[in-house]
Amino acid sequence: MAGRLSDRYSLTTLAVLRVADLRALAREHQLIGASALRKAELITALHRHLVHLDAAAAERGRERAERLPVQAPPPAVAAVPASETTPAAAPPADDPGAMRDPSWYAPPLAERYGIDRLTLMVRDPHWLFCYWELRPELLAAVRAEFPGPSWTVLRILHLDEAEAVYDTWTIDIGGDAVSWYVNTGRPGARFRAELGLTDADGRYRLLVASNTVTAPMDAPSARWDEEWVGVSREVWEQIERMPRPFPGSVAGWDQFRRDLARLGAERVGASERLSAAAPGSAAGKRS
Amino acid sequence: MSARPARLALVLHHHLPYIRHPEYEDFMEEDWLHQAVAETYLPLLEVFERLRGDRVPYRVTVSLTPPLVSMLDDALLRERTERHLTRLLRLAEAEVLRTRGDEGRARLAHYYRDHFGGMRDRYLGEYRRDIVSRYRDLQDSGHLEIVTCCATHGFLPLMNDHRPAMRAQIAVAVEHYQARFGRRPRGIWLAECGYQPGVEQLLADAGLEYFFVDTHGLAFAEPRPRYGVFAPVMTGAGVAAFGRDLETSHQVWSADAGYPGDAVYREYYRDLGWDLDLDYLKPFLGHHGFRKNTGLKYHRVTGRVPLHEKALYDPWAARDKADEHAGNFLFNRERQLEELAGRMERPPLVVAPYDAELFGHWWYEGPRFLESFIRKVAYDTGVFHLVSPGDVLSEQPVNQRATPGFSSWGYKGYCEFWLNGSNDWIYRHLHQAQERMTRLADAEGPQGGHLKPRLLAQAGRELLLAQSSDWAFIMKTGTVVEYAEKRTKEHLHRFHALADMLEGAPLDEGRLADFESRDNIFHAIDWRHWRSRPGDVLAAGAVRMPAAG
Repeated sequence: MAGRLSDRYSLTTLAVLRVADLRALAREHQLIGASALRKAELITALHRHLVHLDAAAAERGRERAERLPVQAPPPAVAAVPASETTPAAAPPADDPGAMRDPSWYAPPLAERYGIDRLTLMVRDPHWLFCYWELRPELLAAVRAEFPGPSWTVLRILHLDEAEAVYDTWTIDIGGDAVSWYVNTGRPGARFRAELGLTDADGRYRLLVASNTVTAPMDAPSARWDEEWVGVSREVWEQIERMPRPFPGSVAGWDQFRRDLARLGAERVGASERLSAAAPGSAAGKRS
Repeated sequence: MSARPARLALVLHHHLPYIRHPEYEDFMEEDWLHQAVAETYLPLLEVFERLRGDRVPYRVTVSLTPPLVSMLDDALLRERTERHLTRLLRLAEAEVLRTRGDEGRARLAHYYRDHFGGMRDRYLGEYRRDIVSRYRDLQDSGHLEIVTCCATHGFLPLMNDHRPAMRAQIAVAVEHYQARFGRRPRGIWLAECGYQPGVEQLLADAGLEYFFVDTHGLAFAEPRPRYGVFAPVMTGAGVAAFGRDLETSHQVWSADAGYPGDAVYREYYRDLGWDLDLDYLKPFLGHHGFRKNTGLKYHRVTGRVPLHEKALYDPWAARDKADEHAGNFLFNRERQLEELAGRMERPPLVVAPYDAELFGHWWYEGPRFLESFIRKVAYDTGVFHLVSPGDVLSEQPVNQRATPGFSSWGYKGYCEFWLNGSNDWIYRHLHQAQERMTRLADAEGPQGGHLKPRLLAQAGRELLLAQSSDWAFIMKTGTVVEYAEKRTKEHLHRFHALADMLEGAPLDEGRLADFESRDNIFHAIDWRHWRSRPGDVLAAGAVRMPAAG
């Protein structure tokens, strides 16, 4: 029966098809770039594509009668057992969305703001993110200071408590990159970043320096307060020995936090008095 | 055991992003609000009011975010919520006719017709479409403690420590709360529990008394808190931090151990909107005529079977199960709190926060579970009672001093869900806009002429709306990504168009009025919150160091 493709292939219907069938359907309907997509993305992209095709067909004032290479599955079969689904903050969008005409989309944002800027952000205790923009004039001017070819590098500066540079490392970045994720593996440390030019002889010229950030802790504080600390040392040591969920899965992270809570619950309020001389923390440097 | 009983604080975080499209007759994403009203907010209100009517003593903390309150108060959206409830009722009525002869389904059709009929009557009659005032009334009668949230659910740790932008997210929310609830908020739910050290001072400046952090926010506090998450800590700014107890959350949320996965509960993913013939459904869907979840669901979870093998739902059996689970939850809390009380010199406190939309929208029987649990706490236990964080601070003003660790309650506990390859491109634009906003608010010139206050106010609204953490969240979940990108870009375009006018571009009052009518949140916004103060770092990362020799 002829009908709207997006009705026949609802999201729930697509969700139960095998990837090979989805690819076949994508080829049939000339969805470009489908081969690069993972299943979940493919389903979304395919459905959106079918909605667009329906819209186009409706505009031409006729319906498309399609012969499809796959057998239609029974209606409404879930890909995911309900008990495995995790509620999200926003309700699910298994809705196909309103019909989009080109004016629905917002024009792109400015690609450049005409500034020299390197911004450093914290993703988690082990990872930083930075993005940048450089004016071509600045790049050209600094490049002119080199006798030969030079290229852009990102420098990460690990700062000590007096904001002096304690350690640095340098990352070669491609000419087109405008942002970078950096795995520092140093929770609790302070960082600044620089963009600079370097050459084969190891010359270095600064282009722009970033703001300073402090990575979060991923372990209990090394500071013990004599007046207050009541949890036994043994428990805290257990916490310190627990595997950290980095680079971790969601499940690993949740388990970690559950273990934390359980350890706290078991020993909270133990009357043992502790000396201020705490065992060294896994956390690294703190102010 | 200590002499005083232990305490449990239930916290229900109510939030939806600000979505309002007068330019469309029906807009898919606007439906989130109507669905949440029908499935969560009205059922929860019914529970809270029935408990109060039955003189059951209780105390529950709810956060109502400013965007949600604004949408619930909006005349156009109220009309559309009414339309949604009417469509639901009409569909249920049609189902009563269609299912004649099929006893199992007919029973459910009658159930839904009565349920939606009663709900619609309540919304239009008793409530006069005003849900927020009912919450306010429950606060005034001492049953709820309502806390605020960042103005547009902006995620503070990714604002590049730009104090005016963070301050505005907090101050605009506090003023909005004050106008709507007739008092100052005592507490705030930081969007996504996103906290970085330093935020507490901004909260103190806004007159707030407490906020919440995730478990590891307190476990990694500085110094180590004596009681872990089972007592609040006092920050140096004089604002208290309460830590989330994960065990309590786990029992309700978890896929394997959680209650909502029980076989007798209603199956969320099997909905009439995907089962029935489209021609039959059309009158009850939007003008766009697309399939969507209708809210009528005839099946139960059943087990790990495909959707088409699900068995029919029995609302009465599900209610009994919710009561049973409430009893189990009570038992587990008693054991947990007794254990803690035996080891602590002060009464332990367990803080159990949830997304409100879990109850009703995702877990259909959730409101019933809550009601049953609250009744049992009132009458069936001598171990603990319900409190709000505000009560705790009033009763127990002396707390350990500590600064929580940088944390959120999101995926892996920090910023990754809002900062990854799917959404990291937004931050360069958001940071530029927040800095420009402060330059505009600081400028003394005559630019903008008589429109200056309106231009600044609307620029502030557009910036706040662009900052909603929901857009980055949606980009990451991969659901309606195009919509989230559209919203981010549109608000930023509007912001810069207004900023241009404030910096000498030709004034266009028509355009300003257009933006004001579309993005009409925060009627009384004060743009002065974006002014810089001494000590603020305004353009972090703009430093061009002199080229060293």
